Amino acid sequence: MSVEITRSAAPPGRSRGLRLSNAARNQIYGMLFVSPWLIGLLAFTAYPILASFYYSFTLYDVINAPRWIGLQNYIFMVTQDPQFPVVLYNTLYMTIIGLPLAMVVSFLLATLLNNPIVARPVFRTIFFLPSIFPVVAIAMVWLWLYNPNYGLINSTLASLGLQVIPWLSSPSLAKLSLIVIYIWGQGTTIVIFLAALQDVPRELYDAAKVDGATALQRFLNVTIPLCTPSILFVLITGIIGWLQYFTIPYIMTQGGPMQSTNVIGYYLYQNAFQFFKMGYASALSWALFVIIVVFTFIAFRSSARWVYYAGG
Amino acid sequence: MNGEVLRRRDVLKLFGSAAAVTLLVTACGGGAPAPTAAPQQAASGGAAPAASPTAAAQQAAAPAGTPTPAPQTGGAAGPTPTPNPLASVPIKSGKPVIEWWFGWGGMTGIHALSDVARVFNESHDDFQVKPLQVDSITQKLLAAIAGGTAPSVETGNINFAEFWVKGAAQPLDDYIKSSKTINLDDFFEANLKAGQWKGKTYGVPAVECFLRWALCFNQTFLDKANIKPDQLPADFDSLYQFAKETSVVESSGAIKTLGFDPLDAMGGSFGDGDPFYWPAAYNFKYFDEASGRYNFNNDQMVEAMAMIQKFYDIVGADKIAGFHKSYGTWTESPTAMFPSGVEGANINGYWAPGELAKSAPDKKFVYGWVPTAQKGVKLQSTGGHYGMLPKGGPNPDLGFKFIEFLTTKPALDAIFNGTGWLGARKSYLKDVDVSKYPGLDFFIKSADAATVMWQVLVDPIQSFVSDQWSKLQESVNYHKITPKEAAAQLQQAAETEMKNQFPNGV
Repeated sequence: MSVEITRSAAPPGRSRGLRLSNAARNQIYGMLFVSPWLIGLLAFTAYPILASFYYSFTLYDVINAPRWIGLQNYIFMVTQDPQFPVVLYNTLYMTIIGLPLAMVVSFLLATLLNNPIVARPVFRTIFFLPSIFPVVAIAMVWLWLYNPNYGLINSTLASLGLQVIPWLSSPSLAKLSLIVIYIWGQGTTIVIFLAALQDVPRELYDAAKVDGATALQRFLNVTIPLCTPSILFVLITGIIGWLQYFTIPYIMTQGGPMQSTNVIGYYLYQNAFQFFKMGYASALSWALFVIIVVFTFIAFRSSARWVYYAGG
Repeated sequence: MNGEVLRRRDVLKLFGSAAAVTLLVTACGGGAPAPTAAPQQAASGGAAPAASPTAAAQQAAAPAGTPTPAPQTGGAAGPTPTPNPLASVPIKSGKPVIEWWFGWGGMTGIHALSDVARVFNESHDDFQVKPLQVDSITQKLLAAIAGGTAPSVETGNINFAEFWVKGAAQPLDDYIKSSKTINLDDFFEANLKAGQWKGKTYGVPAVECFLRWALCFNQTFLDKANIKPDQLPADFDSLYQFAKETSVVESSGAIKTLGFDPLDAMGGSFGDGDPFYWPAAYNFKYFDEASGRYNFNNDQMVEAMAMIQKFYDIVGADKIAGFHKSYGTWTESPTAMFPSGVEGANINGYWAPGELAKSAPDKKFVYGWVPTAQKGVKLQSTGGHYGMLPKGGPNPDLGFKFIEFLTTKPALDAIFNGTGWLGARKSYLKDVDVSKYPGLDFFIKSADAATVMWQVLVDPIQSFVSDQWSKLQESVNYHKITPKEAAAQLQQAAETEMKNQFPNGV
């Protein structure tokens, strides 16, 4: 028996008026339900973004009303600010060196954790744990580890008769020391790669074995290609994250020694809140946005050459 | 039933789900604010960056190298939780309450200032004060003023000059004129002057406001160098010899003891109510308030930077930077270099005797005149902090009444007894018990004995200039640039910044 849905006439005594269709009514209900999120998006995301874009063209000290100065902030950034090339270099260094390292280490660890070993869940937990600790706590712990006088690492070196290493006080080592911390906290990335590894069909490995492929050949020609979608995802999100990082340099080094860990994130924070230059800080943030977009675009465009999507 | 409608049961199910999710998110959200990228990404539906630094709730952590809160049990490893004394300040119910922010973070200071609030609240019925210690107070006060949530009163640890110049503080002239408590003649003129801008007064000297410079020695180091207290190093050459003899580097390369750190405490502090020692020591004024011009590119500044480099070369800049991170600086924390007895000397202010009495009661310290480039000069400086009414802060009338209280004997006693700090009232200094903190008498006597009395300059871009000097001096210490290049760059940077921030003049 079929059920027919019909529209009835208007009740007696009431004019016909405008009646909303079911689709329109559902649309309204849907909008009502997402309205809290929409309002939040507009008020706390869209408005600040648009406001910062406006402020980037102003002289704005936060206390007094912004004063329009056109492109002067951007011109100063590119032509006169001696700090900008330094922070740009540091940011790109950390990203170009740190991100690939982090990805390689995470992938290798995920590969190891994908093997059927005793107490595998325990190892997986151990490697994942650092990613759930608060960054501030991580920074404080690593400050102690790196401490030249009584940190665990240098104490061990000293007890072995070796020289202590100025992890955070040597300009040539400080960036690498911070990269080590970030690599240590790559638990989430490992989990993503682990999921990708477990999605690789076993039959492909069997077929490769039958064809005489070695373990390394299977890894290079089966494992990695089939994990490239996840690698692309990690690369894109990594680019966005690494170019923006702030917390670790803020807590551990304050941009030093000798500005070697001063990155765009920390520099724009200083301009905004220490030097009373919110306008210039806004310009820096938009410059960073452009850099992120460029890098992300390059990654996406290149992906056609090296990302393999199963099924075509 | 007309057409398709949402059934009541469906609506109730949806609301129930939404409420459950909200409760779950709230329960997992944590207490600290999270102004970092991850929450925004979560809200917008994007995944948190996987191979990226994990972003999490950001706390107001003190940067490494600044005085850390003194653990009550003493010693470097003191995980004993210390109750926050501010939380126990009694606030009478039913009375108007104003908020008082201050930036001092050491437990000694926090205890003393909570005592001030307690004394006030117990003795006043018209209104009450709620004290709040705020780390990174310049940044947070700025944000609060911009956001319309400024406190009623602020004292300490901000770049006062910049707040005056940018109009971030309310003028106090009318309040002072009608005040029965504040007598301007009872304050040091230099302190008053640094609280003014273009003829208006924005700050009343309060809480911590006295003399800034002495060469402070750990007696043990003097004994090692066979130096008697009446033969203290008084110039840079003899100080350098002392530093060289008493700096010890272990076989592992770590510093065991550092004879003298020219950039510890007042040697490296510039701004936040503190004068710039190095130009004073080399006898040149680095900023002219009337014309708004800087004077860094000169031979004296080059010599000053070279002298700091010379001290750093004794053990190496990277080693000293690491030493800073190991122990911390200043004198309030027992784990800082000087109180823990691993630093032989530093340039510090009058608070040192009081703070060291609490942070290093088992050690003996001796105080002398700071070295200067000119022979025979006894150099001293005023400086200090102010009580101010932030722009837009509520209840300014009550706020000023509290500032008045801060300059009275009950408040000054609570502060002096708790931490050794002094306000800027001349009448209070006459009766203060200097024997309470050994070494304080040097500072009291130096007020009259000094042949040159320096003062804080009201520099409109003080924080920027201070930051630039630190960076350039660091480059000099690491031998990346010469002192001459550094002085020239500092001049250029200061001039450019002044022009950018004040294109039409100050």
